[in-house]
Amino acid sequence: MSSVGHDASGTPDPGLLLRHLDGDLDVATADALEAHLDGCARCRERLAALEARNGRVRRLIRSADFEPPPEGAWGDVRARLSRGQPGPRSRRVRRLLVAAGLAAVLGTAVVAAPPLRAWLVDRWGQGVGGREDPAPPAGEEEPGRADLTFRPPGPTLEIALQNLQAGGVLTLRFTEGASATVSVSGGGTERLSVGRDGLNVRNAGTAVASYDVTLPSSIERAWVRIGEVDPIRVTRDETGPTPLTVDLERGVVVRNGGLRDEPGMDDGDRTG
Amino acid sequence: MTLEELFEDHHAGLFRFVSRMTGDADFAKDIVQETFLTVAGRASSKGSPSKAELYQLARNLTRSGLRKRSRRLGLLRTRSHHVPRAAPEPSPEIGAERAEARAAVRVALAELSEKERTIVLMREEGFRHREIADAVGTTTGSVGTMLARALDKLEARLCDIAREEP
Repeated sequence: MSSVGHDASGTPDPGLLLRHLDGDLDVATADALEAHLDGCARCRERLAALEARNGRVRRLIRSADFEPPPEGAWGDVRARLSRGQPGPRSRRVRRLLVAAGLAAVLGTAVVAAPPLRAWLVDRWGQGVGGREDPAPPAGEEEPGRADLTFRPPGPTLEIALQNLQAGGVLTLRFTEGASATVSVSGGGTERLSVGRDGLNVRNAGTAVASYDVTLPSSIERAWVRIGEVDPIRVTRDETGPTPLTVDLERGVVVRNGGLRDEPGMDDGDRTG
Repeated sequence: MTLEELFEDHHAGLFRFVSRMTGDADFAKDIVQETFLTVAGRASSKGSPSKAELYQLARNLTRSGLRKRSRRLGLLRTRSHHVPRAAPEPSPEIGAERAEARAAVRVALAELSEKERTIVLMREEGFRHREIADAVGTTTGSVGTMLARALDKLEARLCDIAREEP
């Protein structure tokens, strides 16, 4: 039996079958695969399953659009070409900077009001305006918080690090507590903040800080995102009480309490 | 081919591609404009770009635009299950259930890697695997493999979301 439909391990090759579905094989390979399919029930079954899944997912993707392209878009392009106006990104940046400035002013006023601040602290823990130390003098770099406590509002939490680091690990553990906690060690300029989606860590690529994160009983799953690396999905059911450790240099799990998904390590082209 | 003809041929597909990549129609509108302005700014001796070159340009502008936006606001791209980016209110014609399904698809797409998402969505725009491979810098075989894996992830994630909904 020809092995054209199988990968190196002898199992049906979904990539090749998908290319066949898309009509993307050269004639010789397509003929060889057809001949193989005639004699290989496993590949025929795999192809049928792939075709069904392919159809379902593509229909869903196409059904998710509800904004058509904007009317008069060409007129906008032509007008800007003729006037030599700044690009959309420049205008967007200006709007964002103005909005960010206004938000900073309003946010400072809000968290300074004691009753509202007390409510926010109760809701989110120390992660919102919870800085007890006086603000650093103007012009100095604000150091990252060494620890943080907050209460996530839902069963899912995102932990997002801006960059891979030169060293350090992220340790994650599920607990029965009421609040999430983050402790940083070996760091210096890392900035932690709690946003709508979860924990954000602004870190440098040269950092070697380690982060110890405990998740409360309300959290069922978490996503660890580090720069451009594929996100790491972590669930309470799969991980259990054993801590899960992520190598922050490579963005991969190095110790795990149970079954989990690995990020896309076998595509060999994460830099793309 | 004139710039206007190029625009008429490709702006809808580009808008759809960037919208699906980012879940942000406003951002997609800007990127599409930026794409054609960039093409207009290139030397006329280069000739009209191919469809693949246009999409590659749009993809690069999308990535750099998202990086700059993320850096300046100190936020990362929003890919939370609970808060899909730029999910507008459902209109009466659409219905809440359909809007939820759309939001679920957007979340599931956002949870793929950028490369996987690019491959899936370029395929939706009619590109051949070879063209996609050239655009993302990999082999044709890898495109098939990554596409199969992305489809698995999408279906699994959409099932997860469907189970989580009250």
